[in-house]
Amino acid sequence: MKYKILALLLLVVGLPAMGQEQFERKLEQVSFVPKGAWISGVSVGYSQTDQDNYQFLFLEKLTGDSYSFKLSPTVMFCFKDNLTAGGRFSYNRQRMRLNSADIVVDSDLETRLGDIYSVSHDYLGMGLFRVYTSLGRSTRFGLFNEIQLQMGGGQGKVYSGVGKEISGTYSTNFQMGIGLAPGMSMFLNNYCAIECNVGVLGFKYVYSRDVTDQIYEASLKRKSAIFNVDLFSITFGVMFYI
Amino acid sequence: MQKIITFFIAMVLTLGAFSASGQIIRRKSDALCARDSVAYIIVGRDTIPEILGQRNFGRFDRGLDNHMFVPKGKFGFGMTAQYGELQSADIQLLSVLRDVDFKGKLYSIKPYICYFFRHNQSLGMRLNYTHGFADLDKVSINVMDDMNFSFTDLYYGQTSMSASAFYRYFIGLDKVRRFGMFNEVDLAFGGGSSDFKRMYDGELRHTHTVSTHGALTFSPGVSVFMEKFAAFNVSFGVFGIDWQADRQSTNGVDEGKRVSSGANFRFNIFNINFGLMVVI
Repeated sequence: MKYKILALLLLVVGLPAMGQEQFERKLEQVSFVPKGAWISGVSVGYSQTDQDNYQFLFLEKLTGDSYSFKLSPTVMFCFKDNLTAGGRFSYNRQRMRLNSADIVVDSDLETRLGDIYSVSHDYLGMGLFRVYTSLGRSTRFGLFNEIQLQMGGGQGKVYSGVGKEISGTYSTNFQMGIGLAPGMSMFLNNYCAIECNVGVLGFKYVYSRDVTDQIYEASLKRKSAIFNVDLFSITFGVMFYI
Repeated sequence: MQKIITFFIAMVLTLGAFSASGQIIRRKSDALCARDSVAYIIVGRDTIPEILGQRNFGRFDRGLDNHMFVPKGKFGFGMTAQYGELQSADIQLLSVLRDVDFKGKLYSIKPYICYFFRHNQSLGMRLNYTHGFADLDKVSINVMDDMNFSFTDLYYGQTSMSASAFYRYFIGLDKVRRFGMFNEVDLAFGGGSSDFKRMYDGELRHTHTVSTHGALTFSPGVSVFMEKFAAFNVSFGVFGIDWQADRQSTNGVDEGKRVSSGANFRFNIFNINFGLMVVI
């Protein structure tokens, strides 16, 4: 019996030694973004409307105009193979002027809005650091992990009424945060890629202060931290690698 | 949303698996003499390189080739259509909405045809017709005991037509010619009208709106040949400029107007188009 057990043990120990290799994960990586490459991209958004006595369903005699503008350029430099650092600046401005609007639900249910004006702008600076990983030995598809450090602020005012009946609120805000956003990169050709990333970890602090009619003060502080996939933070973009 | 993201990730990983081969990124000046040989293929009566030339505006060569995907002289055509109808009588939703008598219909048809005037490059035309209406005979809204009201005889209908010319530049990803990517530029122009009718103080109020619109859109996309002649396309709206002007009249009297325009240079998750293309 002892000999049988010993033989079995020798068989178990000896068999794997024949033509087998050490366990290894064999994750290959190539230089996906070479040292010395510049990465740039820009996101631009603009919209404007101008209506005169316009009707949209129950909203009648709508007169006013509005515009919004957003510019967000990004520049990064690859200081070592697959490691990049850079920054993004974002500026957002919007204005709305509502001269008049009637909400007419029925002949005995009507209300009138008018003389409302609002304007605001926000700016945000963001430091970026990225680590790229190629998918196998492909130079077309890759993954990256992005660390974002952001700080910004903004001002805005909204007022309604005319003459002595005017009432307005002036507000300022400040925000800062740090986040981690992994993503995917797909090269269309040698210099242009589509990217998609999603926030998975982050901490954000927002402080805003309002002053109404230069008398009444209000403030809001908000702190938040996430450590899960935030579907609303998914961003897509086109970047140029030159 | 999650389905779209899952589909996107699966598509990228599939394409990655197909295109993953030993490639090295070189300086553009070093890459010119790096290629050993280029395969030739016969298309019609011509013998042409399997890898098509492309401009490189960057400083590096990633070894990403543009394989032959659709040869010159082919026609591509396809169509997307949708139809939906909803009819309800005396429907009640909680205690807020009651006696909902509603009838609605929406259909659209978008055929397109294109011609490959060069290898992997096509020019085409797309038509779009959309018609829909919503007819609300009656609805009662009860928010509280002393706050309830009802609507009767509300109608909203809309018809729009547009024609567009587009240019597509394909990039073949593999030698099998199954997977490809494309960039599309589409210039559309069209018009339409809408009608909003309702009773106000016992009289019919009819607002008729005539619209004119134009748009220039840039959309990259992915194309997968499922059969020899049929490909499945997905395109993503990335950059677009649009403009629209509306003019309104109520009961025949000219009243309102509106002009709107916009430009976007960012990915629009709500502008993802799926379609089939037959190539002959």
